Amino acid sequence: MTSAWTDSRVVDALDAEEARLERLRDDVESGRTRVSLLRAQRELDRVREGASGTAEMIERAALRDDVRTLADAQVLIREQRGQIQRLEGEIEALRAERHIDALTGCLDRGGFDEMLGREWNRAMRGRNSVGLVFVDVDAFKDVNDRFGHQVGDEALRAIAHAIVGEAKRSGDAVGRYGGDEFLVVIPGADLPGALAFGERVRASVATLRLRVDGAAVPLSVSVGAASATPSMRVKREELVRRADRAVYRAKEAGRNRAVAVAVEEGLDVFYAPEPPKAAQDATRAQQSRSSPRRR
Amino acid sequence: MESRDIVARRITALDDAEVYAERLRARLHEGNLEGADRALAQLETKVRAGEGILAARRARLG
Repeated sequence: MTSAWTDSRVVDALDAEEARLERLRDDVESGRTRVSLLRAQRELDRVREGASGTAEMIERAALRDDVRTLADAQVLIREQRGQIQRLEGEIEALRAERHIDALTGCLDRGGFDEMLGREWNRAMRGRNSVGLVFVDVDAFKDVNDRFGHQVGDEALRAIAHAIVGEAKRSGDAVGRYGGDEFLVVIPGADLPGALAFGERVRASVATLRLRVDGAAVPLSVSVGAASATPSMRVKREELVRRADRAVYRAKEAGRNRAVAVAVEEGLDVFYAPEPPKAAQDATRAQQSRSSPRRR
Repeated sequence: MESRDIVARRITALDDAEVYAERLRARLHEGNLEGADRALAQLETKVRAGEGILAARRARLG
């Protein structure tokens, strides 16, 4: 009896290690792509810089009627244009192969769905939880309308960078789900863990400073967090829907906040993060200072 | 019994791999190509080691 129990414990432990290994293999694959992308991008920047120098050389040679330099520079710029084309093609192919969104560098929707599916199956096998965080940019249409789409793109890039900066652990994956919506899968996260992650993302975005012609671009996000252990009753689509409902609640409550949702007896119960201890202490101190006056 | 306990232990090569995976993410986030390259190479080494250890443990379990 003891032996059978021990065997199943050992098998479970090995299965958990197998799941960890699978996730790390994903990290290797995506790491290789991202390193290749970064290398190609660096090379592209270098060649573009060279090409801009060559263009200036052509302009100067033309002004001086320097036919020989002009001919050499024209050969050079043809080569550089060829290199630029090759590198741009390489970058595009890498992005397409690994479902990487060109604007933000996150997974695109298809890539994210695949990743979430893999995590969901792993969690089902290991009977673990999956945390999901839905990040929706506040008033993004206003940013586009007021500052233009280029600034809107820059804002999305900055926000994506802030989210990716928080997704540090093996297996964490960030996807751009819609125009101004991001999803993050956090393997093994329970509801407080997912909410804490969401709050860190919210706080990190709130510190971003983007200015256009001296005017500050207001940047904030509303965040919805959910967590579930896969079962016959709870499908992964339900997890996405829950996180979506939590975002909706965060928007309703005034934006720039994180909210988590748990389903208890068929009803949504929403939670907000605990304020940081320093803020709690400050509030208590303020209350104790002001209480005599209230009396 | 004792050897089963050993087989059920966490694989330290995978613990190390997780550290390198985290480092790789951080270096990529910083745009540090050389650092990312190094972290990726270490991650690959640790993952290969983990694969070997896991296969050996499964074989030992039978």
